[in-house]
Amino acid sequence: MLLRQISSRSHLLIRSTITLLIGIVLIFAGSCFSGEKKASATETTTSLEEKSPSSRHLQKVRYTMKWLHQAQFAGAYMAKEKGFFQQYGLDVEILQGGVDNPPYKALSNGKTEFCCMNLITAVEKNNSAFPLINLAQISQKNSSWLVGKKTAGIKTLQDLNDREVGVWRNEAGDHIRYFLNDNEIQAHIIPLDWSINLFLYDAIDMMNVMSYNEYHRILMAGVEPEELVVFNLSDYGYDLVDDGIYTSKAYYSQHPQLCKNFARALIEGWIYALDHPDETVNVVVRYMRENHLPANYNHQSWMLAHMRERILENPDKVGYLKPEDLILAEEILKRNGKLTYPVEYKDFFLQ
Amino acid sequence: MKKEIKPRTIAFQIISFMFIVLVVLFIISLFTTGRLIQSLMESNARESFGNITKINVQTIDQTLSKIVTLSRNLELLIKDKNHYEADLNLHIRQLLIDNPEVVSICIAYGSKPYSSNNTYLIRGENFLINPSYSDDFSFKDWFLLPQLTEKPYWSDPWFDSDGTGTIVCSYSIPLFLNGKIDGILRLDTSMENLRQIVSSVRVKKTGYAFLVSNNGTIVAHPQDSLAMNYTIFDLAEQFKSPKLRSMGKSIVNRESNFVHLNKIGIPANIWMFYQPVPTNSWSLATVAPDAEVFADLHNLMYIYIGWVLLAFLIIAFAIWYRTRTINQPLEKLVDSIQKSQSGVPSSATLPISDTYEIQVLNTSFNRLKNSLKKYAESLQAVTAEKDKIVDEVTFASEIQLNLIPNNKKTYTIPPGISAFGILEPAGLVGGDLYDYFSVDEEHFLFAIADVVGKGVAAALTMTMVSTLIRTSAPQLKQPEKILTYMNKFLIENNPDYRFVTMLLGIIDLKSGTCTFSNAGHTPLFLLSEDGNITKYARTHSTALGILENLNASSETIQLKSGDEIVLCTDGITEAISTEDKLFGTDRLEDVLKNLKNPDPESTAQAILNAVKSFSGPNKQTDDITILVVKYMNLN
Repeated sequence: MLLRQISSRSHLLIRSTITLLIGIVLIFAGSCFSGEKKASATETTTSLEEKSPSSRHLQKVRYTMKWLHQAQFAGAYMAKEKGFFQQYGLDVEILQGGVDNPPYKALSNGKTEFCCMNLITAVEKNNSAFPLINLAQISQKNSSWLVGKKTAGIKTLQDLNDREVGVWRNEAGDHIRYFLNDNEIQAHIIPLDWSINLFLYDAIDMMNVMSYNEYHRILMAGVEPEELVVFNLSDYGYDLVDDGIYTSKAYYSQHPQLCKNFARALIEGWIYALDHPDETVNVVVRYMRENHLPANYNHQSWMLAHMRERILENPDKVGYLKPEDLILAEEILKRNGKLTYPVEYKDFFLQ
Repeated sequence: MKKEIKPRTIAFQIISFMFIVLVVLFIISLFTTGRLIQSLMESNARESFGNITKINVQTIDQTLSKIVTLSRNLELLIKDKNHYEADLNLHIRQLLIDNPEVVSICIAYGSKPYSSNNTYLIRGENFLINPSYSDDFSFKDWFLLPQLTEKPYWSDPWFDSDGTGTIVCSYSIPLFLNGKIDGILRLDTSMENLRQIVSSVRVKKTGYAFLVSNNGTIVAHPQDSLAMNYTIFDLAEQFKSPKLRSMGKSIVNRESNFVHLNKIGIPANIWMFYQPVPTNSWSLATVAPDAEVFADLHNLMYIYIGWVLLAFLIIAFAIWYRTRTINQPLEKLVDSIQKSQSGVPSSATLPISDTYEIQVLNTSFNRLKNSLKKYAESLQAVTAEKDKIVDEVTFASEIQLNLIPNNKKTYTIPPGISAFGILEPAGLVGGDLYDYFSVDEEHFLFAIADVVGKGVAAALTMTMVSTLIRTSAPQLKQPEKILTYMNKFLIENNPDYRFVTMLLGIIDLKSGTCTFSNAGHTPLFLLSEDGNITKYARTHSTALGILENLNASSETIQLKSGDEIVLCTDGITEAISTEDKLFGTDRLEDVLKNLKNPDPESTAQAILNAVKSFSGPNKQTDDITILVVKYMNLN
């Protein structure tokens, strides 16, 4: 046993040494030759990292989701489940995000190679020291709504002045805060976790929800849609797309083909998931149960069905980030004094 | 086409009729009693479910209300400015030891550093005070809700990582300082305790209970995959059951009810009673499948159906047995009659039976049998008599036939005369007659007659007539005299007034004249050798035996050599075809016209053949008589 461990470690050591030597050679070559030569170096890397049979050595990478396991991230589960990641030479570990493991923090700390973030979060967090790359824009529609009960007497946005509005704490609710600010709403913002109970028990007048998630949970607490007043942020110029796949520019520079492969495999996973909703929901629920999360087929089916609308908004351009979406996010941040690192579209989104 | 009805036995008919009646009665009875018993059982189930639910609601409520009381006591102690922190800790420790329902206590202040917020619990024999490691608590429902609403709050079950590390249900109350919320006091009870209370509930055989929070979340359920994962509204959406959603709203609105739900998974149909827990407004629901709620009803119905089937079988057997007993004498009678070749055998009797109808039948049957016996005896005697008469008539017929000339015995016919007669009676004996004989050497008599009626009486009359002709002719010698004499005789000696038509003629062989007298008979036809036919239809008197004073006349014609005198009775002229037409004298003349080289026999046969051909298969109804006499002048 001990011998086998030693033998395994020796193998790893040899393999690491060879990889390091190849890396040094490539860096040296890259620094000596012109831009064209750099391209050839990239091509060399690409040739090593192209889609390959699963028998080849798989590159281990980590993917941190925006939130906890649920159908919102079904593409990743199905890409792993159906072997799309493996086909692209990847062994992907899917990690939960959320309050305990914010994706940007995980990415910047090197605890993940890829993560899922809202576009506006990514643009806000982006900085010259650690620039980000959008590998694929999964969700192509705004999903943020503000929801209140009609009994609270709120009819227009202006009615929110001096009212209690529940907004997710941290980066998940930042765009809501900018939205209220842009609309000059002086509301009492109550920072929330994921619970909808404050809303249900009338402790707050309104709360922010994702149309594919919390809105359904409110309905599934016995509230009828006609009892609710909904402000869709899209109707107020806030047509912000949310879930996108990000990596750092530094990582992308080192593994461009790997990054492209990751995005392709993930999109293929999504296509499969949307084509096989029943199978997918079963996998999602399995992930949730393995991680001791409340798992509900009904809710996850509903969520997957609503993700379909967002992902297939433009079926010919799945994963495409529209330039105007980037511009909108930057404008909002600029208005709110949060834009520290304006970027060119071509430098931000991987075409 | 009328369908032939297959005969059925009385037993079969009664049993099938009884079966239909019983089925109808059974269905009506099953429906009415079933509905009544179902209503009764529903009422019982409501009561039974209600009792089970209420008892368990009380058990849960005792735990929760105790926590509420303890929290108020602790709140007072915390507000007491005079206590020391050590005293508070000791009090909390004792509270946790004395009240195992409370698994942990937390005192949290939003205004103080998070590390000063403590969770108190007992682990083993140790009393632990765990400080918070972050401000995450300030975003939890148990903290935010009482803080914002300034009211106590019962939380949904949640995982307390800072405390016991288990799922707890918490009661939080706001702590006020100078009229403002200073912090939150939270007492936790183990969700496992509540879950055990709920899982111990048994309703009927497989029925169970589950606990629903006041936002519809199923917080305790025997099926683990549902607990804390689904709301009642999720299930309603999954099963596409608006009724379940409506029931969920009723639960959330803290109502109590007993409802029936269809098609909501397995088992598809269930009964459910739900009632709120007063302290925290959760609801406890008890559930049992339809089949179990109405198990007794179903059993009762099965027994009922069984009894009805048994009753039917017994009744069917009884009817079959009884009808068989009643039928047996009849069957035996039928058997003995069927075995008998003809009539009712004297041995055929109905056994003695206590059935009124059979007794009546028996009496009638014996009467019938006796009368049949008498009839048979009488018939036997009559038949013997008839046979005797037939024998005699046959004998008479032979005598009658012997009375008329035999065509073969030509020695009675003088030279120059040839004759041929045919007599075919309709019965054994006939009422027709023909005759011819030489009266003396110069005179030849021929006659044809028909007595009204048929049978023996007519035959005897004709025998009498035949005898009279033979006896009176040698003396009287003239046809009209002979007929007058015969008329007189018939008037005097014919009590039945049977009249006779006759044509009688005498040929003078020397002169070739023929004198004849026709008493109401069919015409005489004279067929010449050259083919001429002369019809002599005149009658010279009425039929014989009608008028006492008959003035008969006669008529004399000159015969030529080769002339044939053709005579027949109305059996020829009144023969009827299949188309109901009479043969008539015209057809007779036609037959005669077509004769080639006739002689008496061929002429007579030709007429007979023509008539039979005309009548076809029709049965001969009258005697047929033909006489043909041919005169040849030998000089």
